[in-house]
Amino acid sequence: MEELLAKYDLTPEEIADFISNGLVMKCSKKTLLHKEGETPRFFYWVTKGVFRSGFTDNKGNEHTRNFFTADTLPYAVAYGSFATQRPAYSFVEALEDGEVLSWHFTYIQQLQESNVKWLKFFKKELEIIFYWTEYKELRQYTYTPEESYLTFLKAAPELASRVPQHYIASYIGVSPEALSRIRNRIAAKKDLKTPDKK
Amino acid sequence: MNEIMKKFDLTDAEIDSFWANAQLVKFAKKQHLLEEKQINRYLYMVKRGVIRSYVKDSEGNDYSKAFFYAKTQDFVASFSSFKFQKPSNHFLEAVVDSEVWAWHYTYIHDKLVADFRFYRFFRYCTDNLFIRWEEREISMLRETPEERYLVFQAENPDLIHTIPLRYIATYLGITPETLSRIRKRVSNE
Repeated sequence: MEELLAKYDLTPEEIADFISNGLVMKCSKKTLLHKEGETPRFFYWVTKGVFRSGFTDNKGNEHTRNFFTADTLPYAVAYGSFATQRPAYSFVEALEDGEVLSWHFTYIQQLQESNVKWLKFFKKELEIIFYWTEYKELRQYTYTPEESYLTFLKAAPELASRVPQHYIASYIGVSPEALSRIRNRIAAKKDLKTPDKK
Repeated sequence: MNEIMKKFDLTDAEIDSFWANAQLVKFAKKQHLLEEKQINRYLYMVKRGVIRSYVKDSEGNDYSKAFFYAKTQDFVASFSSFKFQKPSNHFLEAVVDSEVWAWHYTYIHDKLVADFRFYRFFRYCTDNLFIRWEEREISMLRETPEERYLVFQAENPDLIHTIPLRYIATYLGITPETLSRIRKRVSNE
């Protein structure tokens, strides 16, 4: 966290002040940080564990929107809803025991208004989130499920082994059975490529 | 608490929003919500457990100032540190595993400035705390340790069995040995 913030020219004092205004929250597996339909009041920064955001469609099926970890995407929040203080139609839950730092909306707002470096930080990070949202939106029309899975593997290799497969399936937008077939196919291709050691 | 808020003309929707803006946080036994010299960023209220406020002298002895639990329905903070966002001169500690609501300073500050009903409600709560602390100060000067113990026991019947007696002793301004003698005397009578 400190490393990332330092990239925005924030001083150690500014970073320490930011952290001291946050609440450390230990979350056991399955803890809901945010419920579907509520306005997100808190900005969560994942420091330990894996969190997931998702939503339920009109047929009652659950979809995964994003995974959050300290090293990949640490902001476990529906950012657009948080920033505009409107209801978010997605939830955020802990997939394993973890820890987050949390700040209230009014504090984040005051931070951005009082220091342009913080405004820059939130703007730039939001742009990255926005890029991935755009990418995800187009991906479902332009990528095959196999391509989507391979991209996911490449972007977050450690997540693939840490997160239950059915969540990865619902992130890519396929059934768990289809994902299992894709994985078998990829493994078979790898075996062909691996030279025989005999 | 909701009943008190209603007395100050806050609507059900406003009361719901007040709670939705609090973060529910767990603190393990002995964990600190606030340490000396830290700035108190949050206003707390206990949902479950016991929070102790205490100060330390230069030799490291600690003295309990107050105990907070669900029934007291009090806001918990180092109020001078919270109000002025300056380093605190005391500690807030979970005596047992506890769960508390936490409102950030900016949220409370904005509400106090923007809404006079909320200001009056908050003032009512802090006045109550102030009155109790004033009563304690007078009781320390005028009453015997035994009288103070009996009042404490009557006001906090559950606490005596939940928290270490040495915390209660320093709250009453006596040593744990004196408290133990008082308790024996009281139970014999």
